[in-house]
Amino acid sequence: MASAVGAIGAAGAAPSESGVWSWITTVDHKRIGVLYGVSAILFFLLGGSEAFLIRMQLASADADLISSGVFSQLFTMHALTMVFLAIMPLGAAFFNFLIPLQIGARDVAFPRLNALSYWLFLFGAILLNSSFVFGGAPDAGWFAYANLTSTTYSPGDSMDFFTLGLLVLGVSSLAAALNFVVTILNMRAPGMTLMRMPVFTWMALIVSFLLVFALPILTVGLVELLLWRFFDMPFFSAEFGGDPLLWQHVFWLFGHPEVYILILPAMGIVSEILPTFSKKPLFGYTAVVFAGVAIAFMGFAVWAHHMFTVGLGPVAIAAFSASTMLIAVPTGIKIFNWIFTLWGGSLDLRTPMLFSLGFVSLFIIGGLSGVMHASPPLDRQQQDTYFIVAHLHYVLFGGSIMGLMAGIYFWFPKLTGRMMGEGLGVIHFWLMFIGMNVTFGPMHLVGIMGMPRRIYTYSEGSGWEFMNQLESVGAIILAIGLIIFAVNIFRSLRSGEVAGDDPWDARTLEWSISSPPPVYNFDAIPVVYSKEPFWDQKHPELAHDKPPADAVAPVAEDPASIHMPNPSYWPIIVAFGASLMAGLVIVNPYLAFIGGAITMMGVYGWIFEPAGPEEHH
Amino acid sequence: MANLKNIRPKALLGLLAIALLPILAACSSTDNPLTTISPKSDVADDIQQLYKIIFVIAMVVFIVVETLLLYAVIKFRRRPNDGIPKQVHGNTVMEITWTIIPALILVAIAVPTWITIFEIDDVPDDAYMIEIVGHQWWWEATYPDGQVTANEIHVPSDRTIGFTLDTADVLHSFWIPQLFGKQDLIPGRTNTLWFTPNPGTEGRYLGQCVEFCGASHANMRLEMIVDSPADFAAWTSGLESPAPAATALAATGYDLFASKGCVACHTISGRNDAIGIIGPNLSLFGSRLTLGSATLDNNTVNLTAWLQDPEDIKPGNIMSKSAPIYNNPGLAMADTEIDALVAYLQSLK
Ligand code: HEC
Ligand SMILES: [Cu+2]
Ligand SMILES: [Cu+2]
Repeated sequence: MASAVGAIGAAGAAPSESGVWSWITTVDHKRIGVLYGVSAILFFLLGGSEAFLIRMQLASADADLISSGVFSQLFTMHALTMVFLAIMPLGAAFFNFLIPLQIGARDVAFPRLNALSYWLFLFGAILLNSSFVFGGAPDAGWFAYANLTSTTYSPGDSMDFFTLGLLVLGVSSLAAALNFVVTILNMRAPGMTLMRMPVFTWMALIVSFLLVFALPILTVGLVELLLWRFFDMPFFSAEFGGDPLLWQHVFWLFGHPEVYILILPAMGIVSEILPTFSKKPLFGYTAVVFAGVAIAFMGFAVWAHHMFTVGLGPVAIAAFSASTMLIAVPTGIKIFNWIFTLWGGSLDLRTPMLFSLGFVSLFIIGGLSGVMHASPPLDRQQQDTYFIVAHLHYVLFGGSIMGLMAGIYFWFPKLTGRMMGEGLGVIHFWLMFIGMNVTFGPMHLVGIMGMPRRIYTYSEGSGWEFMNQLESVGAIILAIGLIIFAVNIFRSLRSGEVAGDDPWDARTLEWSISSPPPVYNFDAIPVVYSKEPFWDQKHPELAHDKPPADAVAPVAEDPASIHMPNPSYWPIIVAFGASLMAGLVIVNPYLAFIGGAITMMGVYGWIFEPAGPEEHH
Repeated sequence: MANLKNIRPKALLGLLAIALLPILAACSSTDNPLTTISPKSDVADDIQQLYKIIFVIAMVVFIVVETLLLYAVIKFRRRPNDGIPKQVHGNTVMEITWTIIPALILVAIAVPTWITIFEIDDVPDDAYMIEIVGHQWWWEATYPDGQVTANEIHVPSDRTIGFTLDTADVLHSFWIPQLFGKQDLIPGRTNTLWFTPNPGTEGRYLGQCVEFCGASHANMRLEMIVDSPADFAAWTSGLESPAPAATALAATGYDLFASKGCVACHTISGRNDAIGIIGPNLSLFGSRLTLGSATLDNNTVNLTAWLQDPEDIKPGNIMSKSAPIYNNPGLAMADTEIDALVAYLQSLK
């Protein structure tokens, strides 16, 4: 990322704003976005490597490459990494970089809190992964069903790394989510009503609310798990009046909204890209927005579809199957609106568009297989088989990852001032698209043939050999695709074509400023009269909502007089203290006071730090 | 383009055949012992019926929507002299249409779903009830008359069979896809499950634990053997009085079974010294077709390998973790002792 750093630093920033120290103390939303993005991509590669090892072990029957114990750690950490350390922070990267730019603001509402979120994420991620060297990573599956997670069945520290790591990551996401909610609700440019907000920002708002309501539920579950493991409080022990099913209810009450936390950012990205490359507005803006809101609400009423086989009784499962199927309606609305955004357009099939179309086509498959196991009798044959693995990867890889990739290609020029290579991009897309289908497509079949998930081995004669071999070939194709992606990023950073402000003839505010944007984003805070202010400015004759005749153009401020928040090292100190505290709990709860003291010191320094520039003007 | 038009139907048929081949293969229960679409009981038939309805609906929706998408991409791709297209913002009638039609389709899925849920829910009153208890990583079955067996569960073909499901340790899930869908085993609650074998389906059916339960979850399989009523009666009565050891070697094995500590964990009916309950009940072990909860065929080679090093076959299993013979080098068994134990276990018919 060295040249990206240089590029951003060069754009209207003082010389003190480059170098490692400037990144450690930065409170600029764009740089924090970059930090999130780079870390998330690295974790994505880590999670991908774990998946690759899993696929190599399963490539043949009775294979001996990886032991059962290591295999359990791999599939648990693969899921935790992809969910919490790759897709969620990639979403956060886009939120950070884009929300202020799309709403015409100069930063987020709480810049230092934003930095704190990032550092907590990074240290939480390191804490979780450090378990690999301290006696073994969590190995009870990412949803960690009780009572396998008790001290009896999971002795050792691995499950404590799980609990404490996720607690730290949860605080990080919660702080970030509150920050985005406040930013979006309060800092929109004049004239940008909620229903004039870009769809991506809308989805960011919805995801932030989902996080605010879903994460505390997970936190409750994790604290119960912690108290159970450390102090024998029997929340999940049936023999002492607890109930292992309590964990499942709590986990999935968080876990299903989490699915939308993972997919809605990608939906927002695609809702920006399809109109841009079709040269048409999004079809049914209002419907797409309200479908997103509906999905978020309904997402809290479907959790028991993960529990159709635990014995909830026929009435409960009939009700939850109905609520689950109902979610297909708003999802369908989105898909049809995307397709009809294309209809009658002039489609430019550049890389961001290819990934977006890949997203739509693959997400349809994931949605349909989801409707299948929304039917509890079918779920009795499909649950915990590879059919589910296929489904979730069509949603999260075909959906989230394809969408996020589309976003990377789309906004890379805005971030760095350079285009990503189109040739390599197209190759990358096709390798991903084909590799993804070869890897996850056959999983539907092998699931229908009864292959359970989370098995480290299977026998000759199971009938699954060929499909598994094929899936492993797919994983190799995906790996090659990712290598091409990495090459493309590095090449484009160094020698990519210079982008200009508006390389795609795009429609929203972020394209109206320079690439990369100056630290203060907008020298003149724009005044907004429509949903697509930049497009309408370029094509006033086509505009749907026109500015009033007496509208005055906003006046640009002198950049030297624009005050941006000071850099601060207190966020990283607070984050370090809090994560150290979490880590030390595992070693010895008394030692945790050391981390607590550092946190307190950080908070103290934070409070008394002058927030803005000293002098007044 | 003209050529393309000519070959298209054939090519399409070919593609269809390629796509269908694995699906057809998945139906064959001999090649795919855990296949979910080769039902052999009333309950499995009900699920299969529903599966067909939903699968067809999903396929139709899939083809319609993906075709629409592909058509739009091809039809509206940018051409050199394209201007700015008409700026369409939406259409209320269309929005209402694609809200209502999917909702109706979902009703068509939901109604048969609900009917099936209630159809397969309650265990019929006249069912022959077998108690199942899941253990890390094997299955215990207790019959109405008190006989106990493990991992290879015989049932009569002429009755409705019911199960009560409990666990001795962590969560497991009981699943024999050709006979019934899965149901979880959860500490503190007793779940139930049932099925009636279809006529003429006597035979062996593979099952598998499908809730992750630790190191040897992958090796926690089982077999259900649907017997004719006569065979079933013979088998249950045999369970109560396994044949005594016949050869001298087997007789040595009989003694070793006590002196090596096997009796602490295993029960063999007819022996008052072997009443352990930590491991599977081994009465009639000699007539079992599989070993290690259906992970291996039960033959001399595999049984010898199991007794030499159970850890190698099922990582983490309680026998190699807790039995003194595998943890105290001083007590390790000689090959001749293992041969004797194998002979003894195989004589239990
Ligand atoms: C500490 C208790 C313990 C001791 C002692 C023990 N076993 Fe086991 N045994 C088990 C358990 C538990 C299993 C099930 C392992 C599994 O499948 O996960 C088992 C499985 C078996 C099986 C396979 C059963 C099946 O259903 O496939 C055989 C055979 C067996 N043991 C024989 C022996 C012999 C012979 C000895 C003495 C040399 C012995 N065991 C000692 C606990 C014990
Ligand atoms: Cu869900
Ligand atoms: Cu299991």
